[in-house]
Amino acid sequence: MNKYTEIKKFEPKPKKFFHLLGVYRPLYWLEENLKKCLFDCRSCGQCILSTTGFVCPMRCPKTLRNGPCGGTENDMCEVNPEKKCVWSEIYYSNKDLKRLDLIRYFQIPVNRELEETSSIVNWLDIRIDGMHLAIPGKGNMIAQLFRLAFYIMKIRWRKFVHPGRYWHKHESHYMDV
Amino acid sequence: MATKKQTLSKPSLEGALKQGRFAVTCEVGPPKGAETDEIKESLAYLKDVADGINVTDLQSSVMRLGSLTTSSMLKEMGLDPIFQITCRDRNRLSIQSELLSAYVMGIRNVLALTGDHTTMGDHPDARPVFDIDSVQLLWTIKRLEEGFDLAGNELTEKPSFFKGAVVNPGANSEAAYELQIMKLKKKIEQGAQFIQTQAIFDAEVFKRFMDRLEKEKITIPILAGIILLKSDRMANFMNKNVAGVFVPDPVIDRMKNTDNKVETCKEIASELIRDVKPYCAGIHIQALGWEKHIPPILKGIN
Repeated sequence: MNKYTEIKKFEPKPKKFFHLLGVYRPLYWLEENLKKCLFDCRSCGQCILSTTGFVCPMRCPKTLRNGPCGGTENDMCEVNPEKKCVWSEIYYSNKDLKRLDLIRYFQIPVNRELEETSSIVNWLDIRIDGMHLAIPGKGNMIAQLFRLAFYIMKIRWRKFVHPGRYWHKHESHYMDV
Repeated sequence: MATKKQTLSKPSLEGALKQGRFAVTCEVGPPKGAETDEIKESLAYLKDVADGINVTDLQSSVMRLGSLTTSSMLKEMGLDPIFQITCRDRNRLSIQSELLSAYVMGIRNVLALTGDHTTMGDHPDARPVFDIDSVQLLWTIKRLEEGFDLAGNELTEKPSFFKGAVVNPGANSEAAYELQIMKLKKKIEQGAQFIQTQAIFDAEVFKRFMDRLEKEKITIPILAGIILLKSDRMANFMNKNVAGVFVPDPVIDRMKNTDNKVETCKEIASELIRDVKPYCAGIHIQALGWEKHIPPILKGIN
């Protein structure tokens, strides 16, 4: 009998192929490491990266998901004064990507039971709501996804090739996009 | 007849805002310890001038007497406390429980804040909780008022509150300013009924902020924050350490070149109040120990 992964709490759902441990574990491993490398992911399991311009809001010392606290001074965090405020990064990154209206959604409190689980599987099981990768009404979905991926790769390449121009002294440890 | 007169003259923030009066709220910080005489002394000055009195909840993450107990004390004295509740030390269970406790004690005004981080206080080794943030806190209060807790269970009796939130009009970068307004709109969507702002020292900044809010069609009552400036050293300290508060140089020079600090402080505060009065529904004065100077300032305004 094949072994399935159990993600706690939720309404019993029909077991799909991606719940099989042989599929789930490599998928989670790939997703987690890719996100950690590119975006400093904190494995909350309720990914809203697509609404925040691909800057993880759980990097904030107060893990705020709805907007910044009042402690930003010149775009710097008041808790770690050498780091840039995560929400300022989110704003500028969303402005570049022209997706500013996506941060207006209200985010519900974090569900601790989903920590260290795959956000993609949670999204496919309709446990979370955050994946607004392609915005309906702005063109072909596949075209949007490709444009997004190329944009991220372009910015990463630039920052890799010209670190002096793009990595300021007070830049966050992870790149903006 | 005597009791009717008593209830009419009882201070109430909600009453003042509904009647369209210029509301005045003050602030009192609980002591570090179990004695309460000092608070009662400062409250004696504020009894007749304030519509509502904020009770801070471990301000700047310094351990003090709790806000719930102090608010209940104020309620017994016949004042109208505004119970400040932060998300720093409590998870969602504790927050819902404290809100129900506050309702049972007769407290009706609640101010929902995220709270300063523990590293800025005197117990930097403590673990910060931040289970929910201020927008989610307003949503929680709304759910409790509908008769349900966050897990969907029904409550035996629904509480009802006059909910408030805070905003920082002095944000000095484009991202911070736009995001403050976006978060303010989220807070109003989730049920905020009045707003108190971070302290301002420049009426122009406040006027620009209020013009922007009018463009965004935000109409709920906003109370401008005013701090009594005690000295130029305090001004420099606030400029360096408190985010969002900026004391302009002319004001600092005034405090430096004066002989009578109390008089200048009262003058600065009165001028500020007179300048912002046409734009806001009230003011929120933070005296930080100089409560006895608040009644003369307010008398000068009216």
